[in-house]
Parts: sequence; structure tokens; C-alpha cells
Amino acid sequence: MTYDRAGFGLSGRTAAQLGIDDMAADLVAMVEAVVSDPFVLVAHSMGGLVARRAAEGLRPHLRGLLLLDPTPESAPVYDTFAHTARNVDRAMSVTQALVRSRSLARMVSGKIRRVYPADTYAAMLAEDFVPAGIAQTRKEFRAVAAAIPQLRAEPPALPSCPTVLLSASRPVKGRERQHAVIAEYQRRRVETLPDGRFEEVDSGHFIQAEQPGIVADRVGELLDRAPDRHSRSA
Amino acid sequence: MRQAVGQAVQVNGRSVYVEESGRGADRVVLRPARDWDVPAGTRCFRCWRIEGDW
Repeated sequence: MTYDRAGFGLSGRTAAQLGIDDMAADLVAMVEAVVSDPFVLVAHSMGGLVARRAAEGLRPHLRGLLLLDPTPESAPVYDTFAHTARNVDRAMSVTQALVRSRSLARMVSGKIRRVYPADTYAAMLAEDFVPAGIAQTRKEFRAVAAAIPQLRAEPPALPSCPTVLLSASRPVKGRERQHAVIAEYQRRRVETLPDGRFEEVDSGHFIQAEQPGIVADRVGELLDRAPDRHSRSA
Repeated sequence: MRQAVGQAVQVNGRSVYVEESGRGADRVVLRPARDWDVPAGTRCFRCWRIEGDW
């Protein structure tokens, strides 16, 4: 199952500026409301920040954590993320205006269109590449910028469940050096865990779109892990 | 999964929409656990909210 974070898609709009901890609290509460069986939590990119924070409150049914090219906040490339976020916010303010036009919305979402199935892209175009969607994305970017120093100062507890981190192998052209640093810090992070595994995947950042079979396999592996092994790692 | 799936649930004073994998033609993620027959092109979960290549 999946969900729309508050402010996105079919979830209610939010006037407040939510932080990563709010998103984690929502995730925990949502899981408590709708999930009764052991489960694997899958998170992509900045979702990794949310998931790692949420994992603290998701025991004991959390069978595993699967992180897809997550944000490693300790990497030096995030030292200046507040500055980066301000620049991104300015760019997205332009995008927010542009996407009032559907043809321009299709243009600015071209990269997404190329990697996702048509029906998924159609939902994204309708829900995310509209002014309200871009406005919410800007809010979440601010949340990430605010969370990075907080998470560095107070890192989430190490997950006691098995954790698999899939790292995208293909950098964006011109960002190879930044990509290598991020991958290195992803690896370092997962290798500190009592039961963590780092795996490089032939993919760009959207691993779930480019390599859904690998993602499904790793989810299945984590679900199939023997309960006694889970207990030992807890 | 409980009956709230496919609806918005109230959490922390906020409305959060939850979708079960395998339902809804345009909102689907990977198939439900234990039903791992994943053909090429299977839809995937929605975590694209922020592009990561800044």
C-alpha cells in the first residue's frame, strides 16, 4: 500500500509548514490505523529521512526497511543545502506559475514521463504538476532543508530491523562527483547498522520506476526473512 | 489491512489518503505483499515528490 503525504494528492491540504518529524508522525499514525500485519517500509529519496525517523515508532511489526537512493544527510554535499534549497525554491516558484498551462506542465515533467508508466505519470501530472502540487513540493523542500541540521544533531535511532539500501548507479550528467559522495555516505550509513546491506542498482534516482522488479524482490526477501532472525536483530 | 485503505484517514489532525496496492488504475504501487508476480512495467510506488538530482 501507499499513501499521499498530507498536502498531496487525495490527502487533505495543509496550511501549516510540516516538518520531517510531522511527516514521520503521520506515517506512524497511518500505519497504526491501516496495517495490522508485519510489513516492510519502502522509502525513496527524502522519504528515507521520514522513514528512518518513523521507524523509531513502528516496532514491532516493521519487518524490514528498504531505502531507495535515500538522502544521506551527513554527506558534505548537504552542508550548504539551505542555500541550495533557496535556489531550488526560486526555480520552483517559476515552475509553479508555468504549470497552470498543461502543455508547459508536460514539458517540465518530461524527465518523469520518461521513467514512469503512462498511468502513473498521468496521476502525477494531475496532482503534482499543478500549482498546488508544486507549492506543496516547495514546502517539503523547506522541510528537508530544516531537517538536515536537526538530523545531524539528533540522528534517528538505528533501525533494529534488517535494512537494505539500493543506491542509484547512474549520476545525472555533470553531477558525477556529487553523486559519488552521496553514494559513499549512503554506504557508510547502512554499514553502521546491525543488519544493513548496501547495493548499487543500475538506475537513475527513480529506482522504483526503472527497476521495479529489483525493488519487489528486495521487499519479498525482507518479508521472507525468518522471524527468528528478525528477533535476533531487534 | 483494515477498512480505512482506499480512503483518507485522520492522523494528527490531518487527512491522509491511503491506497491499497493493486487497486485503482492510476494510483497503484507494487503489488501486494506475497503476490509477487511482477511483470515488466509494473507500476511502482509514488515517492517522486522531490526530484533528487539537485
